Amino acid sequence: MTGHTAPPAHRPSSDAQGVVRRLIVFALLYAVVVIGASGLGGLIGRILDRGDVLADDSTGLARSLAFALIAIPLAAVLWWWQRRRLTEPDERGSLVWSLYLAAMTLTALINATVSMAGFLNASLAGDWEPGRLASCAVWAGVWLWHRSMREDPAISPTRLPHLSVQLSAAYGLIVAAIGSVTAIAALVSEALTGFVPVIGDTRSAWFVPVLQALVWAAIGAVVWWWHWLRERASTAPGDFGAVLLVIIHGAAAATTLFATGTVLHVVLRLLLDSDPTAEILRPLGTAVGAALVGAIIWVFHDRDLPLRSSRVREAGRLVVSGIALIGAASGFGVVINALLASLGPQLIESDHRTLLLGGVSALLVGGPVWWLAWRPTRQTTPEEAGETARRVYLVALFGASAVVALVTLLLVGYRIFDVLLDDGGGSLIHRVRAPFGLLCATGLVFGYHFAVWRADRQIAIVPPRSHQIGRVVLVVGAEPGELAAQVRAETDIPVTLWQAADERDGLTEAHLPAALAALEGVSAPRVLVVAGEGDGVRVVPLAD
Amino acid sequence: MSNEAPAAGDGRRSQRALIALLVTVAAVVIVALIAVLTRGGPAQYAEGSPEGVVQRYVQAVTDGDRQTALALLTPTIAEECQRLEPSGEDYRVTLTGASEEGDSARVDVMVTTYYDPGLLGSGEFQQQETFELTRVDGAWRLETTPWMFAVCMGATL
Repeated sequence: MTGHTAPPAHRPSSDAQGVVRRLIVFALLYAVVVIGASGLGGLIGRILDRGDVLADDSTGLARSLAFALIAIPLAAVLWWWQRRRLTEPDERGSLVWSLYLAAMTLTALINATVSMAGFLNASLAGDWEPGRLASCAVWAGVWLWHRSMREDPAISPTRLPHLSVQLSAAYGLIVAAIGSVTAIAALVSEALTGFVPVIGDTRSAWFVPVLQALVWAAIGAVVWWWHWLRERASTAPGDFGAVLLVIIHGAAAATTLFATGTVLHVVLRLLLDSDPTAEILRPLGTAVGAALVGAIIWVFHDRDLPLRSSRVREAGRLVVSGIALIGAASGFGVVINALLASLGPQLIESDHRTLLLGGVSALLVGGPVWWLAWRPTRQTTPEEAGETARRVYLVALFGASAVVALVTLLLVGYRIFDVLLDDGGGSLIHRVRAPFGLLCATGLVFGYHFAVWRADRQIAIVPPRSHQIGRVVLVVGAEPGELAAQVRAETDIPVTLWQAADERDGLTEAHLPAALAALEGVSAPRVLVVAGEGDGVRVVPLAD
Repeated sequence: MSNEAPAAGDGRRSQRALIALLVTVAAVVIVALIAVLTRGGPAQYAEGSPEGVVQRYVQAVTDGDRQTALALLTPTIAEECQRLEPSGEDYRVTLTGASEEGDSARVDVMVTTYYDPGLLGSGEFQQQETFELTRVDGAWRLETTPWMFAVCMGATL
């Protein structure tokens, strides 16, 4: 048994050497590619811009020449050397290779899009900046080069193979969302100037900022569409895709709810507050844009959650519930704060009213959304009570409540002692009302969820895990193909590849059905899978 | 089959919600465009009022008409004026309040500053500012102005 489970004696040091070598090589490659691209972009920019700056800026020219002429050949040599190694399964399955590809792809994409947007926006403002166009072209070339690495079946990473596509899609979405919000905000703010007394306006063209924001929105939308839909980041297998989807869903929900609360606050202040209209309307443009764009992203990604799995859908629902709960609890705390403020002598009436309306807005938006997401009146089934996501949600809430309670208690205590020790300390209620309001809200949240947690513990049924395996070690031949990725995708178990010394002993893609069938019902911290007769496999559970 | 029916229902609901949101965005954009394109220019305030003086002063500063701007400052400040160049940014000035007390007045404004677009689109920020005026020979003259509209060092808040 020992003979089967223990790896060769030289293996650990060899692995450690390999990891350090890869770290150094890919860090160097990243650095020289960035330096080379920067130098080449500078040189092309100078060619396009000649006559303006070439004669005066010899330092910059020398730097660009050095960067381009030293870093680009170095990058070529490093890549030629590493490219040969990447045909080995260990190299392709290395996390460092996947991380390098993701980091370099994202760096190139960000630089290309920032340069393109900068060039277009400068053109809209009447400036001609060809240097940005040159930079965009160079970084687009770097992006295409790394895309071809990702697409090459001989060297594409087998570990986290979709990481760069998923991160690029997220970047595109963020850029598109911020650009759209900025464009809508600029347009709405411009429209609102008709309702406020404007004394003077020195701008020549109000629409230029709107168009500039639209340029960003369009570039972001193209990047997102390409990666999310065309390169199928939306359906890429693996846990990272599910986590990314839940994060996008939660961020969009948080943006929508916060912005909707702000819109409601503005409306309530217009009806009930006495502050100048211009001041009240100030946040409306951004809030309207963020609410609409956030809601579109929220609804769009909400459709993708159930396509992943019921667990991902549940996680998405709980994230929305948590965000809405934070909004509602904060609103409740602010309402208590405003009520306590109204008890004492009132120097400035408007401040308390603004505070109260802010709290009411947060409560009115957060409360109903929390109710819909959490569904407190629904009977909890034993299976639901035992779900990991639900238990993590409750424990996270307890942790957050404990932190908020501790901070607010310290603040209340400090201010009480401050008033007691300081003769002219003023009203105690006014000093403690803000932390006291938050403490009340936290107490309510904690009390309710503690009751839920206790009830859950009494009825919960913890579902058995379908795979009781910590890691699968596949002993593969020289051409394992997509075997590791497919085993990982089908079983959700981490996979390690070991290269067989004899080609005939190694697994290939043809062994996949037999390997999946053999792993069913196996329970062990690590399981070794080796080739058997024909397309059959032999599974060896290993000791811890 | 029983799982597919609710999933299809959810999908249709999401589709309808998405279409409704896109229609709302289009409606907001159209209404905003109509409001912008049909609005008039800034209201003209009476020349003798504190708001009117501030309006003429802001216009003179942004037009580069230094003589008119100096004429709207109190004579003491105008005579001792150490030249200060305006910042050159684009501004929108919105009236948020005005009050008079005897020979003093103050005009509260919200100044929106537009700057060159940085990463991710246009840039603007807003701040509350105040012009303080005093009555000189029956006419309102500026005693202090926000820094972005100052033409003399002494007149800056």
